[in-house]
Amino acid sequence: MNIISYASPSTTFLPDPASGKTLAVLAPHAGRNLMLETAARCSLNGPVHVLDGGNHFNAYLVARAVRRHTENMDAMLQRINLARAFTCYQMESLLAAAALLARQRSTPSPATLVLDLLATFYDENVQLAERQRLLRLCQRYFKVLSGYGTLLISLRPAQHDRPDQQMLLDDMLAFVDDIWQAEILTAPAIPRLF
Amino acid sequence: MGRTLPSITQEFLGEQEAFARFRRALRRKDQLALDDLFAAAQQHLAAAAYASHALPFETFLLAMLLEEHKELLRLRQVVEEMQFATSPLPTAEETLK
Amino acid sequence: MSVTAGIRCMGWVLDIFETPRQGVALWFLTEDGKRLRFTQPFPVTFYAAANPSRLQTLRRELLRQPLPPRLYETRRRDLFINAEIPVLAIEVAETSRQPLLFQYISRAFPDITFYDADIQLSLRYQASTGIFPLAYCSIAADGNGVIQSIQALDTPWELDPPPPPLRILSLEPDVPPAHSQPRELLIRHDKHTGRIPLQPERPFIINIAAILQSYDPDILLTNWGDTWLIDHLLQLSEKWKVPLSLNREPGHGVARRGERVYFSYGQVIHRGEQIHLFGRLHIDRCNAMLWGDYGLDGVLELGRVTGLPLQMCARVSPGSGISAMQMTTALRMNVLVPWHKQKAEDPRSAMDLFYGDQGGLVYQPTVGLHSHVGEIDFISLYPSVMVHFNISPETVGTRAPGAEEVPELGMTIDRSTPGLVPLTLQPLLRKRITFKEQLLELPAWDPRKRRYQMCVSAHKWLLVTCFGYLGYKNARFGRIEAHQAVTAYGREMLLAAKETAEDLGFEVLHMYVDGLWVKKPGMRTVQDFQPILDEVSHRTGMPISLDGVFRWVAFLPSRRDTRIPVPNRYFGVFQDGTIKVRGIEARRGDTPACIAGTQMELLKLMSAAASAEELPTLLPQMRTFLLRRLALIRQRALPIEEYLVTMKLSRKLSDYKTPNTPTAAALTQLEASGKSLRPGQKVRFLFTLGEPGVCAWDLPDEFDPRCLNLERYQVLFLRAAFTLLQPLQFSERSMADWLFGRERPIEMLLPTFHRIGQHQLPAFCPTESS
Repeated sequence: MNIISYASPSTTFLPDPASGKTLAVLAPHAGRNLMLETAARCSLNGPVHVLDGGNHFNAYLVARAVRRHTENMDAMLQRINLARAFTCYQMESLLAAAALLARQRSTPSPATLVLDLLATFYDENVQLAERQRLLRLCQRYFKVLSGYGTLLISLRPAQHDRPDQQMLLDDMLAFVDDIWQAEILTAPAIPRLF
Repeated sequence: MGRTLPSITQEFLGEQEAFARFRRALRRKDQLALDDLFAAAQQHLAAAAYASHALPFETFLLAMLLEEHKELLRLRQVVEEMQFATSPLPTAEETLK
Repeated sequence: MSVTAGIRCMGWVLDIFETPRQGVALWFLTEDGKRLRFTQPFPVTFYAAANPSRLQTLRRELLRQPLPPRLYETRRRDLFINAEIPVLAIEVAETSRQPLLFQYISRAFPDITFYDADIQLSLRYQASTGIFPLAYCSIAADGNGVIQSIQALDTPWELDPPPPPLRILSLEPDVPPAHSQPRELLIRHDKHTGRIPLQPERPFIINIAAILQSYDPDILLTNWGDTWLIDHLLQLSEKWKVPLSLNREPGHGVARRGERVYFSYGQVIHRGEQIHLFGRLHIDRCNAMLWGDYGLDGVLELGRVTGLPLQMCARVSPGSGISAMQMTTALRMNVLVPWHKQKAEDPRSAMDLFYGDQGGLVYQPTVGLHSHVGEIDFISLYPSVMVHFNISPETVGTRAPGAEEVPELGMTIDRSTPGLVPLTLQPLLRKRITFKEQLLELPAWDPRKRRYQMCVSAHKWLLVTCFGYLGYKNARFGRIEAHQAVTAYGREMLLAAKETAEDLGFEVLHMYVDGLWVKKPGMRTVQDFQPILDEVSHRTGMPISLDGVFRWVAFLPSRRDTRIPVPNRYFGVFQDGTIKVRGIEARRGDTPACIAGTQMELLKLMSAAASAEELPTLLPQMRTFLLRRLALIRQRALPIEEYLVTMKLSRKLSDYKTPNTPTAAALTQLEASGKSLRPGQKVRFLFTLGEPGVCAWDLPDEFDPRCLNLERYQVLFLRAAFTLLQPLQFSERSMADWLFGRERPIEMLLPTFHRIGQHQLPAFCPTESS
């Protein structure tokens, strides 16, 4: 498992869809803006399926990102399909549906971006064993999905005082083929005298 | 389930913030005029939300224009009233013609 | 009291709960004043769905249980698939064992989908018998008190159900136990009132036990019963070996439910631990949801319409009430109630998010003073939309023939078959509208009026939450698409109303989600506005009403920048003299009573003006009043409690980023004295001189009023006064000059608001220089 840093967002780090690899981005806020930029860039190449577990899909940001690359913004936004999950049960059911669809589809599968996968799994109101069981099911679907097209998952670090979150995160880190640890992207600081 | 899309007000404030550097470099009186423009756009946030544009800043610009035009109409009316008040009243003869 | 011979009687159901080996226990108030306990065998069924081999394993496991349930295969409707699916029915003969059995097998078979598994017993009982809390019914039982037949003689939708002759015993400590040690208990029942000192303990507890025994109340109504009183009584009973029959049900202890902190509508809510009784109801006013809004009458109404046990109703959020009603509907319709909702939203294009992910339309009002303004409101807009357009999880996004397009959202809705959510809401909505009509017609002295008002308040909360619940992630019958359809139709309705008003020549001053404020020259009376109501209602199909005609109303700009209007900051006076305020200091929970009181009194003075034009004539009286009030405040002549600032805690002390905010400083003082508060609870403090500038209330030491920071209170005072005077063309500076007699001519032009030129105004100078 190699950890790579990247400096500026581009799709070059995405795996070859034919490789069958599962890629994860591990970053604060699950690399929110990076993932949205990636979704925008992917839409230039073809359909994108976004599964949002962290209420992250700020469509205004995506629209602006798309607009920077093309005038044909509406068409690109139409190519991005979005479904949101607000509980880990819903995340599991979204991924099950996506995997089923990938198997049935005759055309090439869209790129799949899973935003903040673990956000719903970090919820203490569901027992840890249950969350682990659901996460294992999700991993089965990831295996299917990565066999059909690009798959990128974003993850957020566990909180310090939450060993349950760390267990789930470790589980995912062991599962994926490659991890990109995002540098924190901040606007370049402008030196000021005062 | 929380909303995913920022509210139109958040989006508006974000756009305004994006021009903070522009504003800082303006002269004070220009800053105040710029603030007026943004305040004008803010009057129409509900309509901008309903419009559901992917790039709402275009709608904000139109809202600024809209308020400018309203102001223009108002001033035109004031000017016309003033002209009417200062122009000599027609005599009875002229009216009857 | 036990029953020895067969019995047939009429009366009211007080309490239903499971009881070992006897099914359910039902406590009953007979018409002739007896309190009877009946039982009834009541098997409970829940369902499992999985692939056949897993179900086979489940069967084997269930049949190995000491008391194996009856198992059979059947088909039931899953709302989210919108079709019947094969399920395994698991029927547990002994009511009280079902929760335990379910808990066990759900852990052993986490991959199996369960339905109807965790439903409140009272809802199951209502779905199968029609009996709900406080239902008036006839009952026939054998010599052992086992119910042979039970029949409801009224429905939850009765406007004036036969009133149950409830015996209510009220117990109130003299002071809040969180503040200081109570010294006596105020006791009330029927028309008797008395005080019993808490010390010495033994006579006190003997006294209480005797009152409970002799009066035998149906409802124990307490202040701080959940968080202090009941525990205190139980401790004393134990310590002094005085038996205390808090429950009617023999051999039962009290039931405790843990304290909870949760988020609701952007607020942190704190519920203390709850103590429930059996066969008798315990309601703690101080731990009851919205008690101030609807009181005991509202709680009883909630029990009747939601079917939840009354002790639960008093304490749960209205969202749980709506959820309960939906579950009862589902049970009746043979629709499966999912244990965990798994259905996520259907994928849609990113473009659709711009149209769908929106709330109601909130306009910026035309700032300033306006005369003769009508406020028109859709009656319960969102619930009406749900019923009218048949919005429910199973009706949106269907491909049913005849399904129609939801405006803007690019999805369809099936309006042919009534959905679960509209079916649940319709009778409630109808009842609310009838109550509201009755309230308008009944004379002021009519005794029903108060109860109707309380019921309307209780219904309001249920209906408000039913919309939010459609979009709530854990709601059994929630679905985002349905939630979005409601707001989409809501926006269309409001725009249709705007267009109607403009077509009829009205000027639209403001619109806010479900209401609009309109005026038209010459339109002044309620009758003048009838045509617009009729036309809006005709065009939209929604019930709409005139909230009233304002003599005058002032829409305020933002406090920070007077050029920017804000949607929900206004005050005005209706023609009947009723004052309506939103978003100003008097409505805020953190405004000290002396300031809020000043503002409301000033507004009362202003309400004498018949129109905006007349307001300036009242300025001399307003000035006299303000100076007199300010003097009282500055002389510390008001009770010290009136100076208290109350803040709701949004987080723990350690999570406050700056420890110097008044709230954090007050919290620090409280914690230093050994008192701890949780998020959602309220902290009270006074502004004081010196550092840290506040003094927490509820500290053991006596407060010295000389420490009050009067300048700080004066700032608050002037700010509150300015809010009301601003529409009369005052600036903060000119108002202070006017008030303190600093000579400067005040232009009393009537409002002509200019867009340009009202820039940031200077802040108050808090010193009283004149």
